[in-house]
Amino acid sequence: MPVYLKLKSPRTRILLSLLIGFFVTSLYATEITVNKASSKIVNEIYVVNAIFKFNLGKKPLEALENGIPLTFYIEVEFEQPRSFMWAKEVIRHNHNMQLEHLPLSEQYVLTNLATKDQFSFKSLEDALLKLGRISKLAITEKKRIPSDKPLIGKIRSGLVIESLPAPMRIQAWLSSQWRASSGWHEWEIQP
Amino acid sequence: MIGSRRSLLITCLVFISMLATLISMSNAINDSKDFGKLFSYLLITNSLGLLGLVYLIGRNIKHLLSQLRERRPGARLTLRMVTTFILLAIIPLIIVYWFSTDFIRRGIDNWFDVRIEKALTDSLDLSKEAIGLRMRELLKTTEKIAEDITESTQSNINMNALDLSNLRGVIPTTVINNFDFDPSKLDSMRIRNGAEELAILNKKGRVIATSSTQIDIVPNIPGESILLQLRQGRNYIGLEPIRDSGLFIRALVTIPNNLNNKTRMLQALYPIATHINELAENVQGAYADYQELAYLRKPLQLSFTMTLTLVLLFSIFSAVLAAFHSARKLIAPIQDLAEGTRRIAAGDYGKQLIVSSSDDLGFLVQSFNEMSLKIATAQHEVDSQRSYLQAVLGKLSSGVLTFDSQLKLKTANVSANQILDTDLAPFQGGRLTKLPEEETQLIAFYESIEPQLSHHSGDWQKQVVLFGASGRQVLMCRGTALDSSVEQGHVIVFDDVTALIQGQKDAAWSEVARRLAHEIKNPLTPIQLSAERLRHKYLSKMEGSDADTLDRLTNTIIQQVGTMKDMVNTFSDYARPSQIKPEPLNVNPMIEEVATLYQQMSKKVNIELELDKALPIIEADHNRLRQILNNLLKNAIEATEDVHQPRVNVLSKTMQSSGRDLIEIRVIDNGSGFPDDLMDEIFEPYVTTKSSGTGLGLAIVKKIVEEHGGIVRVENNNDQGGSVIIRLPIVMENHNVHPINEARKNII
Repeated sequence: MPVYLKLKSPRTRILLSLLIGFFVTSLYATEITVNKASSKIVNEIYVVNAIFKFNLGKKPLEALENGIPLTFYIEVEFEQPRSFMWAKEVIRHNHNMQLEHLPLSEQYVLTNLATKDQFSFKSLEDALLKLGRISKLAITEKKRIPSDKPLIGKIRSGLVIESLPAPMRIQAWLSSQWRASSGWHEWEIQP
Repeated sequence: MIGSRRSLLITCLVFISMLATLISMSNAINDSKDFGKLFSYLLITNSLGLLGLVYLIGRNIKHLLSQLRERRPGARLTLRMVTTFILLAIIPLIIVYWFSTDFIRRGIDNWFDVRIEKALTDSLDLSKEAIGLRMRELLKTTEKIAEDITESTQSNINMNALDLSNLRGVIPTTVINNFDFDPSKLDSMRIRNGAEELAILNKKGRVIATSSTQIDIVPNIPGESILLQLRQGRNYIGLEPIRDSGLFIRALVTIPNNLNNKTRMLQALYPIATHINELAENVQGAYADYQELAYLRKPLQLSFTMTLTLVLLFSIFSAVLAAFHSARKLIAPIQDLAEGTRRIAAGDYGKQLIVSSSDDLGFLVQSFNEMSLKIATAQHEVDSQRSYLQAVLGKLSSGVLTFDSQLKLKTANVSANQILDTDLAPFQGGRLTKLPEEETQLIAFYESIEPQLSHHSGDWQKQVVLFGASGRQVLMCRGTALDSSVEQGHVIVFDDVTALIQGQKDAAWSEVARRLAHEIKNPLTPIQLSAERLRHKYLSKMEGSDADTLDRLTNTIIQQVGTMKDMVNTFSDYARPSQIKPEPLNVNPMIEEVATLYQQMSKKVNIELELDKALPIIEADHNRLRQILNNLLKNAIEATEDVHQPRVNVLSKTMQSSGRDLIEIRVIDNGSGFPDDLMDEIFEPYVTTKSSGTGLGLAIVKKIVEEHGGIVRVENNNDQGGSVIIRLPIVMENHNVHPINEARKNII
């Protein structure tokens, strides 16, 4: 009885509603995480390997199934830490991948927007797995990076809202499912 | 003005910018690719633009509210006009908006038709079915090729993975292999079965052998999931887009091989006929577009509604701003007129306003300017006349006072201040009743003129007698009531006729004395001579009582004639014109000398002197001044005859009055004092309190004092007796002129 009475109070009900809302939202939220990231020099070129895990929320999935291509950005930065100042950006690299669903072939097609390379997958999981495997992503030539100081490598990924059709963008800005980002993942780059 | 223009320019720029961005945004929503990229920026720009407009409106509202609070002229009219303008603009806008959003919603809903959707879905299913049939056939074909490969492979198969890196650019058109398989067979299999590409892959998906129609292309490697499916023993067939080449059918089957248990896979890529490919692409494209559009139905409605809302807000805000601007522009001349009127009401005549338009308001402003100019001219004339009048009044010897209808003092000229011995400036604007409250010596003046002002509507004339510090003062007042439509009130003109009356009296008395002396003195000598002759001729001849009688009678005649001669001489002195001979004189020794003389004559009286040792030398006639002292001391001693302890004090001191240095001589006695009823005429001839005497003593004193430019007055002491006060200038300005008026002016 006392519990019932407490639940009937407006403040408790609002709090409960907010908690449930948050829980439900988190169930459908888009999650992008970086499991691993590193860089190395191959043939005098800095390349980055990374493994992301993409879990698309309800809204992006719905859009994808309804023929809206989704664009993901993969942003890599090399920074040079400085004392008493913010780090100096040495190089920044953007890499965009587009994921779309073809209704005729019922395939998920992943397109590298820079090279136009396409990869077809029967399932979304396979496509997202492929999307999350960044292998030997060329960043810059070694000679362009100062070799005497240690650097910090940073990588992150997320959805590009601006690539959505214009009418969708307003909703996308307001929804956490669309604005999801992995956040920066950092690693050290020794000279 | 510059600020206003700049503000208008900024507003116009904001307006044009927002209009442009709204048009761009509308295009962006209509899926224009160029504007689509800028959609977000356009939305932000428009939102900021709207915020800018809201800020401008807020400033205008704040300005208007402050004007309303301060009750500025035109503020209420501005509010009314702005409200009217806004209502006129908003109501049709909201109606249009309402219908527009409804049309948008209905219009977008009408894009979608269940039958079209069904047709598209069916088309897609049909395409899938058609391609599916083909795919199943091609899967069987591929399985057959795999079996053929198995059969064709030599027993000692040694399949090793190719290094694909060596293939790029140098790949042969038919086959590359490094195992015991006739390469021409794979090529011929590909050609025979119409495949675009055939590739033998190992378990890990690496290419072992390949045959392709393209020379310089790397074999299209299947994905990990397909390989996994193969490894699980399930063949794969799928429709896939290949870069720049349209749709292909990819088939992957396991090559049967029981020799060394090494799994080999055959991948075949089959092209789809061009026209089928096109049709399939079209069906897929149309379906995808429709599906996308259907999915975007709500966001599209939202976006269109939002754009329309932005347009509505932009229109409303622009209308509100325009309303403020228009109202301000319309009200500005009215505010200027109100301000100009206020300035004129405050006395700032001649205010000219800027005629900024040639319409009715401009005509009104022009008329105001003309009116203002005329008022200023008239005011200037009034001021000139007033200045002239004030100058005339200032130079008048008569005092002039003006009162309004409520008996408040309006003006008082310099002579009025001098005559009344009061600065009347503080009383200007105040009621007449204040005058006697603060200036008690003017009570008689107030009591005399107040009834005239309150009850008299015509001209009046009255003589007023005042008693001030300078003694008795006779004013001749003439008043008139101002009863015009412009001005109502009273004017009083008054003159101090004290000196005039006194002069007339003095002149009359002088004439009487002169004639009396002349008429009496002439027969006195024959009378005296006759009496002396009678005495001389008949006294020696008479004896006894007759001789005594003659002696007594003639002595009486001779003695009385002598007395009459003295009296006549005194009259002559009084009537004689001024003939003083001023010389430097120290008054103190003369006072001491006269006092000593009288002290010896009247030892009963105690004469005390209090003389200022620093008394300056004055210019005076020795004899005449001695005569004054004689008369005063004689009078004082005579006044104390009946007093138990008679006492006479003589004081001398220096003082200042009206900026002039004076000496004051006071003769104070403790006698009977001066009767109150004689105070006004004590200095007139034949006025005396004594049973004997000519009654000319004080009259002569007064005459001599006035001849010296001084004044004399009497007063009764607080305790007992009376005082005679003489004030003489240290230096006589002009001793040949009878200085009565000058003395009155300068010595008080």
